[in-house]
Amino acid sequence: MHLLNMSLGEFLGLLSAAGGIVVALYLLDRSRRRVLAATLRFWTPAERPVESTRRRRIRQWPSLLLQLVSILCLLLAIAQLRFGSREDFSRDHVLILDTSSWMAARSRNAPLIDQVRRQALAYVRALPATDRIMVVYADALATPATPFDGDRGALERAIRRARPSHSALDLPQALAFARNAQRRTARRAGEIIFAGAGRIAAGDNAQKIDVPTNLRVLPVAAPTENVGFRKIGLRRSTSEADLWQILVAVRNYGSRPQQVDLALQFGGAPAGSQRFRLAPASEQEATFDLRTRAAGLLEARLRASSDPFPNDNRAVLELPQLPSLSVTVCSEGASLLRPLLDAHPNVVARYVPAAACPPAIEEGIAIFEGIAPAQAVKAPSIYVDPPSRTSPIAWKNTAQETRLTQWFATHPVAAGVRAQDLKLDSASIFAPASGDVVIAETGQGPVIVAREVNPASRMVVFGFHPMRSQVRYELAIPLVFANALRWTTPSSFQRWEMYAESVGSVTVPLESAPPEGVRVTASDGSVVPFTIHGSTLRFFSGQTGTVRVMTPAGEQVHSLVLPGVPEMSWQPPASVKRGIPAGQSGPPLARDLWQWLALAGGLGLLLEWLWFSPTSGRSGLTRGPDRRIVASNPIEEPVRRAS
Amino acid sequence: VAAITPLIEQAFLEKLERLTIRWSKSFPGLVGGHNTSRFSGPGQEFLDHRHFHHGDDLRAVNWRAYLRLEKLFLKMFRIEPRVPVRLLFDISKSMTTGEDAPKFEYAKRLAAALAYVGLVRLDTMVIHPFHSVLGDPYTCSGGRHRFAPAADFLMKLEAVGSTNYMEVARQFVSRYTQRGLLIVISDFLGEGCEKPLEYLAEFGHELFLVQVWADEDRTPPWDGELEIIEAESGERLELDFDADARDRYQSAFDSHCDGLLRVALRHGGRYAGIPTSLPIEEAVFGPLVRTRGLR
Repeated sequence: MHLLNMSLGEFLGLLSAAGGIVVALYLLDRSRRRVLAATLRFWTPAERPVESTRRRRIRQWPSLLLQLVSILCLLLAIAQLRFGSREDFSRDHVLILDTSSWMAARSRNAPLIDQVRRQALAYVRALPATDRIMVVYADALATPATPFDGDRGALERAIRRARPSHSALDLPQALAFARNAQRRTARRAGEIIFAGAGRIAAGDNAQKIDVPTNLRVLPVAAPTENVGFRKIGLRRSTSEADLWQILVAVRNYGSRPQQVDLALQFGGAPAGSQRFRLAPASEQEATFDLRTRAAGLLEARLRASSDPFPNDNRAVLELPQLPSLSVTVCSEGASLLRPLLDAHPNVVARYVPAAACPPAIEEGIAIFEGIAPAQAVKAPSIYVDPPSRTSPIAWKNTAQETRLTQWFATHPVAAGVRAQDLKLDSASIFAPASGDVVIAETGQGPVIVAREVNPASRMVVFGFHPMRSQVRYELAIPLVFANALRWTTPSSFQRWEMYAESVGSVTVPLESAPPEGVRVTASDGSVVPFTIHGSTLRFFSGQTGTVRVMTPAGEQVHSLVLPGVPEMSWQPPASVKRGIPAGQSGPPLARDLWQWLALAGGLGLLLEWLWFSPTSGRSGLTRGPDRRIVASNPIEEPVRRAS
Repeated sequence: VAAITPLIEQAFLEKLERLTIRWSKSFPGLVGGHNTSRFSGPGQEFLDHRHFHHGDDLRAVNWRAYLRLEKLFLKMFRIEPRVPVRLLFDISKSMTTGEDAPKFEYAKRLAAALAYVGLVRLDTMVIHPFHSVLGDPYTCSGGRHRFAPAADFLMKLEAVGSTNYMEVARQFVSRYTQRGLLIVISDFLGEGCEKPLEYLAEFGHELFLVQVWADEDRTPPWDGELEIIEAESGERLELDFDADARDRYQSAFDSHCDGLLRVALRHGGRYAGIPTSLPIEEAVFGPLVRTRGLR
């Protein structure tokens, strides 16, 4: 038994004050009985002065007692006396609101989230006022919207703020979060309430969901039919520079066959279309080729006959402009590098004689074949067999009939080169400065050196001409040259892959990237946390947007524009409670007594007024006898005398 | 008579028909009922029939009705009594005391009974309510069927003011010079009531004092510290009351009643003290008959 509204000390203080006032008023007002008499003429002889020292006496014990008891009842009602301990009184519930993407589906022309809000509000209003509730938004993550709070206004505001997200519901995680919250922070665990449709991803095994014993489900009538994009992928063709290869996966999540029309648009112009007939729970893919080097928006749109969840029927990806590498080759005669440069579709080579070689290269890369300008250029550059006098790397000597003995394989220029014993007819031996990187060397010294003044001004110097000696038949030579081009201008050789995917957890396969060279950033430049396990990179994004995965091998753009779509419905066990509780749910709570106490107090005061008020017969101002004394007729004898 | 006011029940009214208001003095003028007078009066006019009771004058029996109905009916004649029976009725606030049996209601029923007895005997009854002054009188005469208005008049009376016997006696004597029977119904608990009564008796009226008291008027049942509030004046008196004080109080009350009795007997009148705990029927056929006020 405890008092809700005040402490025991406050209650006793109030009771003492009220009781003291009542007793004082009683002693002042009721201690002397008032009698209404016809005359005072016979009272005067009987009068005896009242002793002033005599203590006042309480004439009407029942009246005083009734008043005190009534005031006690009223004070207990104000203090809200309750049976049960204070700890047993309040319970803490966790209200899980399904804010997954599926809540944007429409049923009866209204989104499902409206039903969720209504159910949640009804539940909150059905609970006793002393119960506390934690509101949790559940999609791919369980996010608490409020702490355990008894403020119904704050709870209702949090419920009304619930919006459908873009990720699918992770129900096991939400239930585990609720259990942990009740175990760690709740005073007395109440119920875990799940308000939603219970549509979960296929990866969540519905049979293995650990259902709490105190779970209550507020079901939402949700549609089950849906057709939408599963994934859209674009990659730059490796054979044609202006070709985008597009892969579109469409899935029918429902139980009825669907016929859908897929249309692609790039920059507002049609880029492809296809009609699918999808069996229930099936998926089909379609590929398209898009030729463009320009940047623009690629929009994919699905049209289905009946689809209550349209959010996954449209996806828009932003295609970047495809860059090409401009190469200026300065040579004394006909360039021997033409076969190497023309083999790459992204390289646009311009061959100029040494006399016409521009002093400054503004765009692309400069290749000096057999020559070297007096002043080192600031643009990325490759020097092939420069003259000893003007070589950008200090020339040491010239070696004849020598062999390449070692490659610095960790450098990008030598990446993948394993060839040994390459025979060079003649090669310049360099004396690299501090900061220079030796890519390859012979027994006499370095013959390929890389220098990086800054990322925009990289330089590779070959001490021999790769196309003049016997090495031109070696596979390592074009590989080294390609690596040199890529290292000096890495942006031109990046591999572009773009994917339209669902928000949530994204898995990216890595080819052979060292973990230290990987960066994952959001569209605003912020770093997105990620993990690398083996050759798999994982990151999570709960919001739509673009996430870039940059590796030394290239860049992947993941446009998380598709909502996470649940694929199956979770059916709670039959033992789970459902719906809004009629009254107090759960085990019996402390009982409210204030209504009865207030009634008893009011009734007591009313009875006291009826029985003991000055206008009543039992009051001190009485007119009738408390005990009947049969009066004898004093006239009987005189009458007899008179007769 | 069938539609009699609830002041008095029908059965009690039938019993009252056997009674007659009695007085012992002879007054100048006509009188009604069976009271003898040495003063002659004018002729009679037929008024009504009533049942024959033992002792009635056989000369007034309607023999024709007897031959037809085989029941004795007495013919009654209208007379113009010159000497009415006056009833002074105390309506002061002191009459309101008495919780279980209020004196005021009890006195009303008593006055109604006396008025009915008078009306049955063809007396003229004049009811004078009074407190500190004499109120407007109500006159009724002519038989039992005039009782209902009289009862209504009594019922509508409300207790008001305080008693001033001397002023009332002075006004009464100045307004009504004809002497006759004067019935005074009061608690006689106001100060100085004996001298005005003597004054009225000495003026020539035959007094019939009917004192009505509540039980607590004579024997206060309370003990301890009391705050006595006088009903008429509101005056307060604080005292400590116990058994000895109650004895002294009762003795004083009885002495006062003895004084009233002496005033009545001294001037050839009658006195009846009636507690409100006594049923009204017993009061009429008990103290009132025993004191020769009724017969």
